[in-house]
Amino acid sequence: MTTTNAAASAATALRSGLGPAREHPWTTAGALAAVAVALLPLAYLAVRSADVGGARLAAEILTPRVALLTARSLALAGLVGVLCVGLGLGLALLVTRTRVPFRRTLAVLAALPLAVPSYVAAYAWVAVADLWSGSRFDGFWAAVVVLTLYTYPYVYLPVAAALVGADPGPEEVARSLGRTPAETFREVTLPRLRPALVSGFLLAALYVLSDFGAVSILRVDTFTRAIFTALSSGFDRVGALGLSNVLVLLSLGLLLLGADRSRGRTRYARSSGARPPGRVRLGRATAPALIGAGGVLALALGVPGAALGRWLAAGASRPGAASEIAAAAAASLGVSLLGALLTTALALPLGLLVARTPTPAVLLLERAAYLAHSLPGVVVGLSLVFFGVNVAYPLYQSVWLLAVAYAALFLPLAVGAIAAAAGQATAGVEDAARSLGATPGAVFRRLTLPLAAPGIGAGAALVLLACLKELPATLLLRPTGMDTLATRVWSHTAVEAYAGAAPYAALVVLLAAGPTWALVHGSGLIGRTHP
Amino acid sequence: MIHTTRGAVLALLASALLLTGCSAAPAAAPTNGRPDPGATAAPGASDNRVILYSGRAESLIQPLLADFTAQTGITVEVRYAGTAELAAQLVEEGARTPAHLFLAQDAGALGVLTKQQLTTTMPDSITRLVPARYRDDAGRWVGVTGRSRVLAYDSRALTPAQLPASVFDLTKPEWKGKVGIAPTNASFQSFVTAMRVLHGDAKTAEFLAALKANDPQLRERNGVIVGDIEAGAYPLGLVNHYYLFEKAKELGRDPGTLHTRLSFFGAGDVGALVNISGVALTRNQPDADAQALVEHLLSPAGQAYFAEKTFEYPLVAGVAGPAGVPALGELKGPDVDLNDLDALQRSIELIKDAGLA
Amino acid sequence: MSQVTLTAVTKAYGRVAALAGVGLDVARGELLAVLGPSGCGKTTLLRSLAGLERIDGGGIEIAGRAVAGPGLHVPAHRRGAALVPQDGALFPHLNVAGNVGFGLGRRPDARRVAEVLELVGLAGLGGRMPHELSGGQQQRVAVGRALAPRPDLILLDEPFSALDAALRAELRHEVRRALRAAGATALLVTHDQGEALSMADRIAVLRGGVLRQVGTPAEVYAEPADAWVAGFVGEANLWPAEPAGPGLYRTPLGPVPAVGSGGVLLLRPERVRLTVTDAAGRLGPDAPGTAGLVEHVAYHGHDALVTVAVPGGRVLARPADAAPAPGAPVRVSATGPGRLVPSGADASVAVRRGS
Repeated sequence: MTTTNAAASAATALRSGLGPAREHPWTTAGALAAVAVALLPLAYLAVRSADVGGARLAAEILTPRVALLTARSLALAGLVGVLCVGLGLGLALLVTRTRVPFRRTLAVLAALPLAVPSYVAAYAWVAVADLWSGSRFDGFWAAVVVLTLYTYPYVYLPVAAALVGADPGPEEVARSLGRTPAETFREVTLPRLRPALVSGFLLAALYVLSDFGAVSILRVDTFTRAIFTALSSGFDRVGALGLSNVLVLLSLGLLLLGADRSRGRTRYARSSGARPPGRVRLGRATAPALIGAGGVLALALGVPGAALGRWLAAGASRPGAASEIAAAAAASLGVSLLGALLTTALALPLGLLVARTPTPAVLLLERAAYLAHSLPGVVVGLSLVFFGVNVAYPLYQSVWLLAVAYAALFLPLAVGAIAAAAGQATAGVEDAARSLGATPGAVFRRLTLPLAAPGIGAGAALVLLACLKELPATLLLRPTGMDTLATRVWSHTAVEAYAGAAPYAALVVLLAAGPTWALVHGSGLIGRTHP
Repeated sequence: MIHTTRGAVLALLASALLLTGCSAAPAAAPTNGRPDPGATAAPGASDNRVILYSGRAESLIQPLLADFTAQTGITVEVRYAGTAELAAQLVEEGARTPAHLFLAQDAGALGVLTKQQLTTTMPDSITRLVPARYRDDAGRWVGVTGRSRVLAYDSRALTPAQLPASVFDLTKPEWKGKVGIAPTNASFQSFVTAMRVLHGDAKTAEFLAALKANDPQLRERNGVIVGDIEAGAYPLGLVNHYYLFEKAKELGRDPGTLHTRLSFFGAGDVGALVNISGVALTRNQPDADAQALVEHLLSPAGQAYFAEKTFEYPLVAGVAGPAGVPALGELKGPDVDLNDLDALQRSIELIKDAGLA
Repeated sequence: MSQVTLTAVTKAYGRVAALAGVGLDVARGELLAVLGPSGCGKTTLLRSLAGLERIDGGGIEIAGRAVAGPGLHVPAHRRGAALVPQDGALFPHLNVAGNVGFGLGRRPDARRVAEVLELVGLAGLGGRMPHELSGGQQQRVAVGRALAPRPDLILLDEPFSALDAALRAELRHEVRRALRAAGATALLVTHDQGEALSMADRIAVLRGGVLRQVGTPAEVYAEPADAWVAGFVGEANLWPAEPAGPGLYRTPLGPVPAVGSGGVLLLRPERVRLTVTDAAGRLGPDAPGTAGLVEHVAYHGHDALVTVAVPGGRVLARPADAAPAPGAPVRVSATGPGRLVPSGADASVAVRRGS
């Protein structure tokens, strides 16, 4: 282990001397293409903002209302982000470091809320809360609850994977040097988890900024809802543009905040410790821990389950014909797989660059890919309408442009996963292959790709999941006449045919559960499958 | 692990290609999307194909479109989405839109297109079918159906004589906590807009504040309000007239057997606003197919469909309205130019300022 | 005065007994090596001492204090037993000084850190981050980190196994010196007999969860407790002890004298003389022993291990002077007495190793 570390650091030193010239030009070109796709929405905002002019935009932005929106959006994103870190870390520790009963079941269930689209979750919570009490379940705190319950897996998954993969050595040493378990956790475990925690927090916070489904149903005025309202009720594009620009600035701020903190990633190369980390007996804490985790999962999964079940059972509004459901499912899978493939393909070179040559320029590219992640789907959708109509008319309203939109929306999900895995293919290994006569292409095919494969798979699964749930951009960009599960859910709930929407919503969750399970399995949380 | 992942990636690739291969077929990029900017030119030969952007939900229009295809042989490719999103999309697409016509759920969205000069004027032969107050003066859009704001009430709790005479009476103490409203719903927002047009912003703000102070039952959707009244949760609700019929259909019952009844505010009361759903032709008119579809929507059969299936008011003279409500001609709604309902933004601000959303 | 006492310690994983009643004393200031093949239980022993494993039975005392026993399990952080793991396991987020000072509390004494860095030969490198160090340097930091708080016991878990041979030898020496200079009591776990023999004050040979022998390196090497130990701690000729006269035993080299008692005769290769025949194939006038052919030579620089095929088996020899080439005709004979050792539980295996 130590010698490979030494070799790696020596190679890193060598590489930084040689500069990025060591990377194949195709890798760099691919990374640039990926960032270009991710920046399409920003380019659109820039073009439209220039049309409008700075003075008008400034007048639109510099208002008390925007200040209030900023404060509320940031408070929501920050609070949900922090709660996600708490919940995600807690559940990750529970399933990786304790002997809690039903550990594997919990490990799988804890990831599943990721499969529930926020609009389905919010509808379900409103419906179930309505049954409970006469008063409506909505407002800021309702949004905090719902968004936290369905966003925390963005923290849980990477943190649990890091905990499973981490060498227990440093923690044991800390114990042997007199640190209590709590001190060891604080002083040794937590710092090592920081990259996973920071990136999870960023993803969760950016997601909250971009979410429309939950905040609109729970009636919290955030940027996304205000942008949507400006567009839909006032047909006020200037207002929507101004708000979108501020939202981009907010995410820029968040990214800068997280930038330096997560930079340690490459340094914390995962040691594939042969020994699995020790699991503590919970003893008297077993029951409270089980009840706490079970309670969270019962709420997160039980509420949508109950609501969907009730809608499926009740009401006579026509639940779509089986063929219609099958067509929507096929369309959903088709466009989502296409989106996942395109996004993963675009993310691969960028992820490799980030993992192997994290020069300031490369890290800037990576951050740029995150920038548009906080924009609501409707803005990204409109930007691709603009791009499609003006630049790529033959692609307009084809599945290909929809796939590009998915790439613009979800690139960061794949880049993060790939970068984490590609870090394992050290330069030393590749140099060895080159010395054995392998061409750069062969090295990439036979070494880089297989070693990064778990990350590529995880990235693709995350994107697939997100595409299956995506609604606003799909509505705007899908081919005329095509319906996905998500658009069917929308069209039924739009006329309040919840019974009709239920099979589609249930199918979204069911399909999305597939990639979610793949993520849990791939992270080694349920029985380690050695690479 | 590597092998299973690689296998999974390959499987993903294969199935994506298969699926997109299937689903891409009906999704071919528009080939006739080269509109003539001076879009009033004589249309060319029919290609028996028309692209409709529909803000009206599929379940509320699809059978009528199927009829149209059966009768004319013209296939209709429909893009269903929210009226507002489609309006935004049409504005973004501009003259290069693949769409031929836009079916909107409210007059405001149609007003946006006319202001951006993205519509093709319809001939008199079409527009004169509809009363002047339910269409654009210049023929740039035409109403298809009418929907009236009503007061739904629980007939177990209230008799018609006990009901308030004006929507402004709902702020009285006797109705405290007893009125269901859906302030984030477009229909409520149009009603507020009409109130602003008729009574001014100050009086509207005053009404909204008083309504809020009267502790109303806030709901997301009209249908929920009807359901609540039917369940006896509270006795009154401001909704559109057809929600009662939809609820009856959802429950599989005859509307007459429900406890919920409808009351129409009298004589020009803004609470009885009649809004429309309407249609506009885009500037992309390669042939007369889109116009034929508009004619179909306004045909006696089309209008009867709306009356019978979606319980809306037909706007063409001679077609019977939905059973169980007063005829369109008997409605004494306020006198509002529907083109003025496009400025919802200010109404939404007022609703929010009052603390209702 | 023993610093560490283990009494009949048992530990099982499911049905597999990792420690089957281990009793052991480590004197204060002593470096004791636990030597055994992989899977012998030595890592379990070390982790049980550290408090990372809970023992099933028996008891452990460290510095006169019971830390494990029936109903007693003092947690790792209250045992005062500092760990040096196999791969160093440095804290990647702390620099060298931060790692070394980790065990010194929240505000580590800078002088003590400097002193320890000096002791492990890393003076001036306190500001480096772990990933900036070579493998050997990382391991020195790990040792310094364990030494710094002057623990009651230092536990070294195969600390040199990942290093290359030259570095390993150098580091063994330096770590031994540093431990002695600090007066530390240490327990080293290793499967490398060279490491155990060269570093330890005493060696405990562990196999299958049972201690086979505890003694000084010289004792263990020269007077192994049984045939298996004899074979494990060094190269050995092992033959069934068949009497060939009073005090003499039959071997492929002819009758050899031996002391001790047991069913197996041990003759270390350095006790075998090897005489090369001359160019014409004739032997020197005083060349004794049995004729054979050199089969294999493992050259080690300072010496070589030569395998000679003789009628009735093979003989290992370690000639003091230049080794012959493979295929060369030689004569082999014993230069000193062998030792009789008990065959142990697995005599046949052990005996076949040497023959």
